This record gives sequence, structure tokens and C-alpha cells, in this order.
Amino acid sequence: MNLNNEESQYSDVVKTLKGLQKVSAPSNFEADLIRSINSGKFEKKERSFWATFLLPSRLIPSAGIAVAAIAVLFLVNTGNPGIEENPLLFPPRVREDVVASKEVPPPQKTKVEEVNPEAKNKINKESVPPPNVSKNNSAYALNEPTSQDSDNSTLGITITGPNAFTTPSNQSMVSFSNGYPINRNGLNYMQRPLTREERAQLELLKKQLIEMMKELNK
Amino acid sequence: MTDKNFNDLNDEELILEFQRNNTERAFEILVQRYKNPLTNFVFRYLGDYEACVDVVQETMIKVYRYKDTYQSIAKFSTWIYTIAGNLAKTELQRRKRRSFLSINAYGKDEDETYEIPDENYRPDDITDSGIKDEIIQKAFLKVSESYRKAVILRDIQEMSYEEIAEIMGITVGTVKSRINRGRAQLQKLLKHIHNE
Repeated sequence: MNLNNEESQYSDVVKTLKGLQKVSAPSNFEADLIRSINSGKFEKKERSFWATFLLPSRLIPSAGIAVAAIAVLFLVNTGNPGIEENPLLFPPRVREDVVASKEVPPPQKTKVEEVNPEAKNKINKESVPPPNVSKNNSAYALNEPTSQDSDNSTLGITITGPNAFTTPSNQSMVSFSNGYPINRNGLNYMQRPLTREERAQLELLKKQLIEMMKELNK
Repeated sequence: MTDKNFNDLNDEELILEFQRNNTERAFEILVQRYKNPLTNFVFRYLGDYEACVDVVQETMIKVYRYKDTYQSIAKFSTWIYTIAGNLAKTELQRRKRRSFLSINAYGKDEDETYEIPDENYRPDDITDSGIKDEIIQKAFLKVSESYRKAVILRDIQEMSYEEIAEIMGITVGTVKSRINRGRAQLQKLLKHIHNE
């Protein structure tokens, strides 16, 4: 419906309202006003920073938010029991799934080339086997030249697989040739994150191993 | 500038004079011009004469104190009616809260001050001539606040739709709609008066 039509529809109301008696201010209005202005009672009181900060209108919401945040943190922490454990007070976890339970394939004799011949000599000196350890069954025989690797004089490191350790098929036990058997219980080790250098070293070794494998396959 | 010259100035010129030179005479003339229209407007909105006078006083004090916030792009009447309307709305809300809370606290306040009653004409006095006015005023108070304000500004203060829109901070279309809805509510409430 058009608004103008509506206005005519309510003409009686409009007429009644226009006929209302006008209300006037009291006679002392101006005197009171001047008095109020001169007394300065309308002036706003300056609040200090702390008075403003501690106003209930500001303090209550912020306190409420803080309490809610603390409650949420408490609930979240309570629900996660792992955080309660202090890693320094607990022994390292035993990774039993990693312990070899089947026969380890016999490692092949591998050769690693070494660029620096001086380093080769150094390694060879360090890895001299003790006199009471047999040459055939020794971990120290790693760098000892055998009939297989004697052909290549550039090799710096020699890993002699079958001589390094024995792997009985009926036991999940690995024993080194120096007489220190390592059984399943002894294989508990701690997981620890590697540093960047260690990781880089590991990557390098991995590459070298891959290259070696490739060469062997050739 | 003489007193006569100040009376010749329009509202905007007077407030500018008050802003720039702090001429109190200019402010006094503005008070003289607006005290009655504002009292009429606020009384119809609140329905309480004493509260209405306080609101108008407070409006004038705000004009005095915040004169520098007035910008000459707006009409002075729009500015002062906006202030009065906002204060009246605040007072209405305060009264609602107080009426709710004061039922149990009546008479406990020892710091209450007593004012000498004004013996002039008071529209809330029940007189023979004022009965109709009182009925209309009671009907007014039953109309929704936003509709009531729009109807008062249009039908009692006789303002344009544009001015009302500016005072209430709404569009002209909304103003027209509110006025008509307010009138419709009033028509229902005052049916018995119109039928007489």
C-alpha cells in the first residue's frame, strides 16, 4: 500500500496528535542550567590508568577469559597421560620388533674406494687386530686384505662379511668373534634424534653403499 | 555584536559564534529557542515531566560542553534533537531498570534530596482539560519506542522525513514505515476517543 494513502488513512490520529497541548520547560529552566554549568558538576572526572583498568566492566570479561583459558589448558593436559612421563626418569624403550628373529642373510664382501691413500693407512693402523684374535673370525679383519680384495689396491675399507660374525639360523642371537654374544635382551637401545652432521654422514654412507652395491652387481 | 544582532542569527550561525568566540549570549539564545520544543519532544517520549526536564537540561549541558564536536555540515536542530533523543532513550532504559530494582530498595536511600515542586502547569497533573491529553500520553507510552519517536518527531514536532531519518540514523523509507506502524498502533489504542 502506498505510504501517502496510509497517511490519509491515519488522518484522525495525526489530527489528534497535532491538537495535543504543547509542553513547556519550567520557568526556572535557564537559571538551573546556568547554575549547573557554573557548578561544573557535569564535568567528567578523569580516571587514572589503574582505575580504568580495574573497572568491573573491563576486569570481569578479561578475568573470565583468563579462567576459561586455564580451564581449557588443564583439561587438555589431563587428557594426555604421555606428557606426565618424565623421559629422564624412565629407561629407554626396548624395540623388540627390531630384534632379528630370522636368519640374517650372509653379507657379501664389499669394497669401498677411498680417495685419500693416507686415510687408508691410518684406518689400517687403527684396525690392527689384537694378537689373541684369529684372523679368520674377527671383526678386526674388516680392513685386512683377502684374496678377493687384494687385486684392487685403491680400496681403503674392506668389509669381510662371513668372517665378521656368525649367524646361527636356529637362534635369534648375534655373536661377535671376540666372544661377546649379544642376545635378544641385550639389544635394548635408545632412540635418539640425529644431528644434522650425523644425518649428513649417514646419507654419505648410504650413497657409498649404494655405489658399492652397483659396482658389485656389475 | 549587540543582543539584537544575535537574535537575528540562525541556529548554525549562533553555534559557530559560540564555538569560535565562546560567546555565552549565543548559547543562551539557542537555549531559549530549543528548551520548549525539546521539552515537548522528550515529555511525549518519556511521559514523565521531571525526568524530561532533567534530560533537556543535560542536553543543553552537552551542547555547552561539546560545542566543538558540532560540524557545520549538519543542521543544528538535527544535532540537538539527536542528543536529546539519545539521552531520553538512556533515561527510559534507566527507569526500566530502576523500576525493576527499586521495589525492594524503596526508602533505603538516606541521601535522597527533596526538590521544591514547580507550581507552573504540569501536563501530568490530572485536570478536566488534561484528561484527553493524559489518555493520549498513556497510549503513546504503549507504542513501541522506535515507532513512538518517529511519530512524535513527525506529527508533534512536525519535522520532515529527511530530518527524522538523520536524527534517528535510519533511511527515509524506514522512517515512513515506522511512522505508519506507530500511527496504526495509536489508532487501535485511541479507537474509543475517535469514535466519540
